[in-house]
Amino acid sequence: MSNVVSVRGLRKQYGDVRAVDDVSFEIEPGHILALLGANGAGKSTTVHMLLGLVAASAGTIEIAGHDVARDPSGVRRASAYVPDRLALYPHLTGLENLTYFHQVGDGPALTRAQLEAVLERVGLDRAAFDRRASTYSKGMCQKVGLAIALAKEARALFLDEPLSGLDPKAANEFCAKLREVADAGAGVLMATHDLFRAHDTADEIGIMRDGKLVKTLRTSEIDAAGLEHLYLEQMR
Amino acid sequence: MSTLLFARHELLALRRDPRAWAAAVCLFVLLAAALASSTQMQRAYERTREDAQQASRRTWLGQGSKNAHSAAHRGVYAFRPLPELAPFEPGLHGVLGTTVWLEAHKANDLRDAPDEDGSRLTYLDGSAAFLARTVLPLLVFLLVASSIAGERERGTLKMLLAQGASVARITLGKLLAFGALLLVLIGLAALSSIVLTGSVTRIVGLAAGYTLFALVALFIAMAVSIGASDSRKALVILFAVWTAGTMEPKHDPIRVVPATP
Repeated sequence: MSNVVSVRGLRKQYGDVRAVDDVSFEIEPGHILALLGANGAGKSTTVHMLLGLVAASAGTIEIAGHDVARDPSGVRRASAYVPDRLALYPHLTGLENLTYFHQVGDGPALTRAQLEAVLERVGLDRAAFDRRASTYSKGMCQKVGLAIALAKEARALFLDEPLSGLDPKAANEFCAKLREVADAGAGVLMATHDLFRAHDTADEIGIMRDGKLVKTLRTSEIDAAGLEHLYLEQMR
Repeated sequence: MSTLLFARHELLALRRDPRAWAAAVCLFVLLAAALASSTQMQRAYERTREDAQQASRRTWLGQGSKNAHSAAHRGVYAFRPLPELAPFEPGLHGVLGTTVWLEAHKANDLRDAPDEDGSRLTYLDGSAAFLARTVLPLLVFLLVASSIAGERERGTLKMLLAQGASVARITLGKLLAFGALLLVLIGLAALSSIVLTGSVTRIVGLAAGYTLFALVALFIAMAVSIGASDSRKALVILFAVWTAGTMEPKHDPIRVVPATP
């Protein structure tokens, strides 16, 4: 099966600082790759380069067969993004936010009932559909973010610290829904600090340090405690 | 995706923003109050002028039968009517004089100017034109400051870009929305001015001028909003621009040069 995400020799230079240095990885459809690393390790820069929001200094990125440098619009059509602080328009309801972002993303035409079904699928309470997003908790906002990705039928999903600020219940719910999205066939990249949920949710783990991808492994090869030990060892 | 999508979204945001409603209502109340008070003053002036003109005519007619040349030498006062757009903008009426003594063989100057040396001629005259010059750009700056900077601050800009939107399209959509709103506001103000003054051509010309002025303010505000990292910075910059642009220019008293016969 061809990879949804294919990254080769990715590099980002800011003056003398090499934020991302020769990073390569691949994500298969239905797989979740969790990128771990301390603040400033280059996780967010990598995600931004995958989305084409930041231009890479060197290397190639292919998302669902589209080269980020040559076909950025194709990449954006095929991918979805959930940032750490999912931004919704406070004056719009959850359903209106989903509708607007879906229309901006040129996604397939969906009826109100279909959009409601997407919100239900990510676990948003029906009573919240027509409530303004200004009343939403962070967990509810993140669910709408997932719904935007689902409605778009994105083949690649990129998440930048999606669990930060979520309470354990909301984080667990979010990870369960993320797993469902991946199981439906999307390739997922999640940058996170949460080692244990990364271990529980992802298929593969990548550890970044000083812009380099210093370790990659399958979650089936190691238990959560072992991962923590390995992570701390890499951070030394 | 269509630029109109962004325009529709911006209009919806404005419709649901109580600050936008409050600002628009304030502008309309101030404009209506300025127009109503200056229209009332214009009517009172016209009544007085009409009475004075009739009194002057009566005096002239009261000289009885005499030689036409002598009658012309007797002279008569002519009182200057207010300009058509005076309810909107008083202009130089107060400086130029209100009365001229018409008599044979002489070219007399206009006199009885309430503000002979122009010392009371001020930019801050409280007229509807003053409000349009000052409050209208302020309203534009307040509404537009956070348009792009706010999206960046909230993080929605990054979301939109990740969805495939471009900053150029988003900006164009927002410009369309704000431009349409300004057209409606100025159109309504122009309509009410036409009803009050009855002058169609001049009001339409004025409205076109003020639309151009408002659009320049809109482009400045949008440029600042694109460049600023957050809406607070954009607002501070725009407020500085507004303050500099509306400061009272210092002028010397007007020297009236007598007309040469």
